[in-house]
Amino acid sequence: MNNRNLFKAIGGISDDLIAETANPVKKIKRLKVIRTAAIAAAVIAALGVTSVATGVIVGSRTGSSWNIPTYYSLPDSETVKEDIGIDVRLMDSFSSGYTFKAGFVVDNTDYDTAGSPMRDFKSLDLTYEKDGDDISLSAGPASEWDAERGEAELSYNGCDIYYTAYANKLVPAGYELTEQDEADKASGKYVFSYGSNEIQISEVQSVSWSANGADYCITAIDSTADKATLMSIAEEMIDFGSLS
Amino acid sequence: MEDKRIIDLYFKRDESAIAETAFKYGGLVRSIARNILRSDADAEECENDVYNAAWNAIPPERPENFSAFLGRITRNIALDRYDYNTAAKRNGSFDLILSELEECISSRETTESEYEQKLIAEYIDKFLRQLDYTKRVVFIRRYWYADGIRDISDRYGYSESKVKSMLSRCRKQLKKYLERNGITL
Repeated sequence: MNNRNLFKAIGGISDDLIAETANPVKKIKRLKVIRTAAIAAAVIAALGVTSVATGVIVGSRTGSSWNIPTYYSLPDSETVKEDIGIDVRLMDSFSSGYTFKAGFVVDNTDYDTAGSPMRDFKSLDLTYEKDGDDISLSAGPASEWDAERGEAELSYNGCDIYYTAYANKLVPAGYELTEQDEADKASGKYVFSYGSNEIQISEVQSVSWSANGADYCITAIDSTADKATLMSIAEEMIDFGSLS
Repeated sequence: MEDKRIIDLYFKRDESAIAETAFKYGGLVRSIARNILRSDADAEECENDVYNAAWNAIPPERPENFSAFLGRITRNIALDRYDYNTAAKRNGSFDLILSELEECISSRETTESEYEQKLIAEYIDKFLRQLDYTKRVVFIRRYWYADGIRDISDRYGYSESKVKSMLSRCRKQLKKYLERNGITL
């Protein structure tokens, strides 16, 4: 066979495969619940602490990715290094039953409190699923904002693991907080984040740690996973990372 | 206009079928033709030939997927035009696509009957179905639509080097898959 005939033969593949490629692809804002940056801005402003690396206070972070996954199977370390520039240790499944479902490469931008962009970087956003419940694991280059995390929940195998749980009120960009919103924010009833089409309130848990130059964060939104389950996933990841 | 209604126009031998086809799918047809041929003039001639071919094929054919049907006709007509063009008029970008496909071929000496070509297409189809969605759509965009690497990169948000390495891996996997199934190209 010659290459021209092979090209012609490829023309004979089924219509449904062709139709698949006609699906529109767009870049979407992945709504990252940015409590850490929100706290960073609040605490840092209160304490006058600045980010060690740049001396600039982080105000917010945005992330966006394409609406089709980058990965349908767990990427190996070489692929991850090529795609986001750092080594991260990933697991396909956990003893709790959560299993890898899909992953995205996310383009992130950090902004200072004046809204000026500070840095761009890539991270991973992986979805794990169990019985229809999704949790997400993000992994990216380590940041240096120690003030944001508060006290560690526990120290495990040389890593401090942080746990937070809160109610997040997601509002559209440009939304103006009402008097009640201001009161809810001040009392800690809600953490506010921006970027949705309509107002949503979600119960959010997050577990985060840093290891080997990478930051990891498990986020569970309105999930059936409890604190113990999320902490156990973090511990398994830390153990796995220390073995690799 | 819905594809079903456009195809009904062909069956009624209503020539507005051509205009409706051109309005809805002209972009697709021109895009594939330009990917294979170099000149806009050649691509325009190809486009007109595609509409003629569709007019002659429908009826009796009633394509289930009209865009794939038109895309397939475009590929074949553009490929014939590419063969006809002398080397000076050929499209370097499409030459590159053909040279990539060389990696899947063991011997240039064999010639395949129409039946064998259809069989090879079936095996390529099965191979593609076992790939994950990302690799599959990138492969099809490159070797069915003849898209450029940059176009694929822009479409899916991958770097060009990632697209190239995905395609390289797919070609090697395709060759092995075909060999395992007793098909040596």
